[in-house]
Amino acid sequence: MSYLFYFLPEIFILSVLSFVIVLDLFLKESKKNISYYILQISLIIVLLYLFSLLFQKNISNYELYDISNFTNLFKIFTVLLSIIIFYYSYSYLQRFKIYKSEYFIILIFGLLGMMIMVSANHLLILYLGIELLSLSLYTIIAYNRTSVRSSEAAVKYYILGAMSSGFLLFGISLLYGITGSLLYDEISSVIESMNFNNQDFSTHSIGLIFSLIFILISIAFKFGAAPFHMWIPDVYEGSLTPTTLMISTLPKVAIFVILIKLTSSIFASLEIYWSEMILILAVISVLIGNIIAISQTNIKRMLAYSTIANVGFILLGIYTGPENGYEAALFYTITYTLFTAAVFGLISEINIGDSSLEKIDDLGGLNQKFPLMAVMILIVMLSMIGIPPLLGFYAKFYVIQSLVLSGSTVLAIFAVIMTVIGSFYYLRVIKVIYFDDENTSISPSLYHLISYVFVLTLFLLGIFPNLLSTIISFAIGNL
Amino acid sequence: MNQISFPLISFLIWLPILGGVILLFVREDYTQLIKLISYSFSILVLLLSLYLLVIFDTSSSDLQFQEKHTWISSLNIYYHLAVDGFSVVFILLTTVISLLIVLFSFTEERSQNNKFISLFLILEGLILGVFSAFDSILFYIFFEAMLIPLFLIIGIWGGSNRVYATIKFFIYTLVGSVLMLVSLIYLSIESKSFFIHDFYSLKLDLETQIYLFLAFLFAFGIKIPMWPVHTWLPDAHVQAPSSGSVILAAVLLKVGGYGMIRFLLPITPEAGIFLNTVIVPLSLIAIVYISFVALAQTDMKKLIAYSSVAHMGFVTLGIFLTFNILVPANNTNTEMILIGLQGSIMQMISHGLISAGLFMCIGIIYSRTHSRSIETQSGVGQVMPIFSALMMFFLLSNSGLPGTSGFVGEFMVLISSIEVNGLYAVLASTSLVLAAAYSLWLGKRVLFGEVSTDTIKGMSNLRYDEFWCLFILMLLVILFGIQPNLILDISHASSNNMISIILNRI
Repeated sequence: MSYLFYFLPEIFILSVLSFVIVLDLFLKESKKNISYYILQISLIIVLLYLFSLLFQKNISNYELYDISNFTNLFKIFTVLLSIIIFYYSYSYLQRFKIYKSEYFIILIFGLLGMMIMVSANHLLILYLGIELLSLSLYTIIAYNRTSVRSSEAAVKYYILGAMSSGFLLFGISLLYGITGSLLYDEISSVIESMNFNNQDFSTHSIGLIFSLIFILISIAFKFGAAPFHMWIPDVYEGSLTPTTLMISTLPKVAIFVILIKLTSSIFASLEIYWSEMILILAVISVLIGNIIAISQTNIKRMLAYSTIANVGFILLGIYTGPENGYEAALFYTITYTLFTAAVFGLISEINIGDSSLEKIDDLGGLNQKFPLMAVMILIVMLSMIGIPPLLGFYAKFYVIQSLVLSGSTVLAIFAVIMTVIGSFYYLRVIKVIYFDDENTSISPSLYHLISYVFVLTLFLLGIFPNLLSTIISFAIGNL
Repeated sequence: MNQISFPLISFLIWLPILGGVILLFVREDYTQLIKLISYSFSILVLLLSLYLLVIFDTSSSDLQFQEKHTWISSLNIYYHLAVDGFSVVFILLTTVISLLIVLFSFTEERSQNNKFISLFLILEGLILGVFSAFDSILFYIFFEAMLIPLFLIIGIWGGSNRVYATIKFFIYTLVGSVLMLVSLIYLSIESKSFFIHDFYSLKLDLETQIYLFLAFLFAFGIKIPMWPVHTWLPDAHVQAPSSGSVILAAVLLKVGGYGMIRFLLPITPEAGIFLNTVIVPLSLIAIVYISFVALAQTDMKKLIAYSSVAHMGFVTLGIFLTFNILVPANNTNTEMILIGLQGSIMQMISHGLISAGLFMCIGIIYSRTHSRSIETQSGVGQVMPIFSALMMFFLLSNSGLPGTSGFVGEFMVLISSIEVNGLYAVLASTSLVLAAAYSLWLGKRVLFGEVSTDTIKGMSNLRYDEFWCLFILMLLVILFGIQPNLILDISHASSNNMISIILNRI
């Protein structure tokens, strides 16, 4: 039974979830928020436990399930961010009087899925985790069931997502057929012993490349890299703002971790193949994301395309390879996630009349009425452009440096020029907030203390980026 | 090396920023408190910079008052501040102009005045950071962060077409600076450090140098601005509030020139010779063609904006001529080249003072008549005689009147260009005539003649604070016109050192 120790956080979360599901049935309508508090407290407990694991030495590794410091740090990050996201979601749902405990229960199932998928050392466990995450996302997108857009987005995402899961399974089965194993380590040693080279066109190598393509397509879809990005704008627009907040942040980190784990273990000896594929995905994503975002008027759609562009940047980092690229890409991912969380958090706190914020122009003149709110959006937007001394600058800096280091200076120039193009749509938000006439129906909610703290922390992290970069080097060192 | 424990330069940078942040939390109707805070911070910074000047050793070209601390260890980036002769000159310009801007900003009524002044103080700190950063990434951070305050100043308090102008300004500058970022990263990988002086000793082949040269030229050429990437400047000037125009013309443009001296000259001299036939004509076009453009303007601010581009042409000419010492066939006299480089610096300082004065004058007219039109306004001289005398003085110095600082820089650059190529000198000197033409014609149309409208008739006289701003600038212009060595001595050792660095590169 000693191996159960490895699953302790997951088991704890699952038990609390089962308990809350039952408990919730017996709560009165007015007392339902007790479930929310129980879930938040259990997350905090998990967080503390994970922290204590960091300082524990001699954790022996279990072959199916990886609890290295790397995955541990990932879990700390996700759980911490989940707590913040839940806070935003709770205040949003309360404000619009659509609170149901199921919202959080489903989200925590997704969180569980993410924890499982990053820890997986076995392809089927990975698949299990990805499916658990995807299923909870399909459900949560459709939460706002009276809205047509919401249902459309859910159905679209469900159909496309199911297909991409099929791709993943197909890739996994090909791998199993060729190597006879589903464990990362075993597969990677089998592939290594095959002594791959460019000229090898045996059945085995072609099969391997096919499995790589299928798995990569599936991951690119979940990641939202162009040309597999079609679902992103619709899903972002159709979901409730806190749902978008969730979808746009945590799953991206999880998928990113899967990507670097797979490319650095199973597919390590196939680098010549995947790096080119990733390059293509990256370039298309940066182009499509940045250019289409310019013409968007809905702020969620705009941020959806900006996500695609950011995913492209992350992929550019991965393209440059494990030595310095992964660190850059991880730094970028974390920064992107933090700032996306901040921006969607801020958006979820702004009401336009009785509804939530949709159009960019509705932010008009926010500065005159709520200068602090305006400054926070300003900081977040400037960071997304990559203006120093904000964190976004260092993220871009890392990626560009790794590009130049790997000799792809042309790509670096491409990346910075796309940054300039991208700056336009972020600037437009600033323009609307600071330079336009006042929109009288804006009314931020009263609970944005957490936003102040959150954005201020991000600002300070930008002035002292050493902290974040040290943690990230540590994490990558433990991969 | 002059190592002192008191972090003087850090204080210079962070004091105004601190003042700016404090001002953000002051209520905007507490005018007296805003005045107190902003005056005290900017006067304190000015005094600190004067103290820096006093204890600065002008005979040495070493970095002085170094502060070096690890900042981002994983990227090998240091918080590395220091000054040399070039830095000190520009630091003084910045602190003087900033104080005057703060003074001048209270002469105009506007909403959210606390934020307005606060942004200027933050901007001052960032500019001082640019001039004293010796870690290239730290330099880049200040360089780019500088965009934000001015972007907001133009966008919030600007004229009717402010959004277009400010976004154009932002994106133009961003394009140039991101290319510079790639070059800095490339250089740092080659030299294993971000310290600017480590870049100077790198051996780079010609092709690499050309790419680096173009990237730096793009970054600083947009900032200074050079023809043909100058088009953001007139728009930004016209839409900016008067104080914004002043800081833009007087200090921000100089960052471009400073960057060229700091990066372009010592890092890529061979590319400089190779491209000499391309870049020198660019400067000449700026001087001659833009002067003609200025002549045709009907908006006062636009006219001065174009005249700035033309004057900056002299600066770039002086800088680019420096490359000629490397061409042995020309047999150029190193002394003469030194004069050209020093002339560029003199020209930047002088233009900083004169353009500040002119933009303040235009601001004073605009605050009374709400018009900047040259054609419909005349006879200001009859209503505001003292003001007109001052404005006429600045216009004359703008055209390079001997005895004012405007003359010295242009003259030095001209001497240097005669040494290199007579044709350059002939073309460049036409600007003296053209500058006199557009400046004096502007004075003739606006200041002299009959009072054209009732608004001009009703103009109130010059107020004391407005008068002092202009008067101090006038004194400085005359002082440096008569005694230019006050400036030239500070930067002399550094310029000399720069020339020898370039010579050693080959």
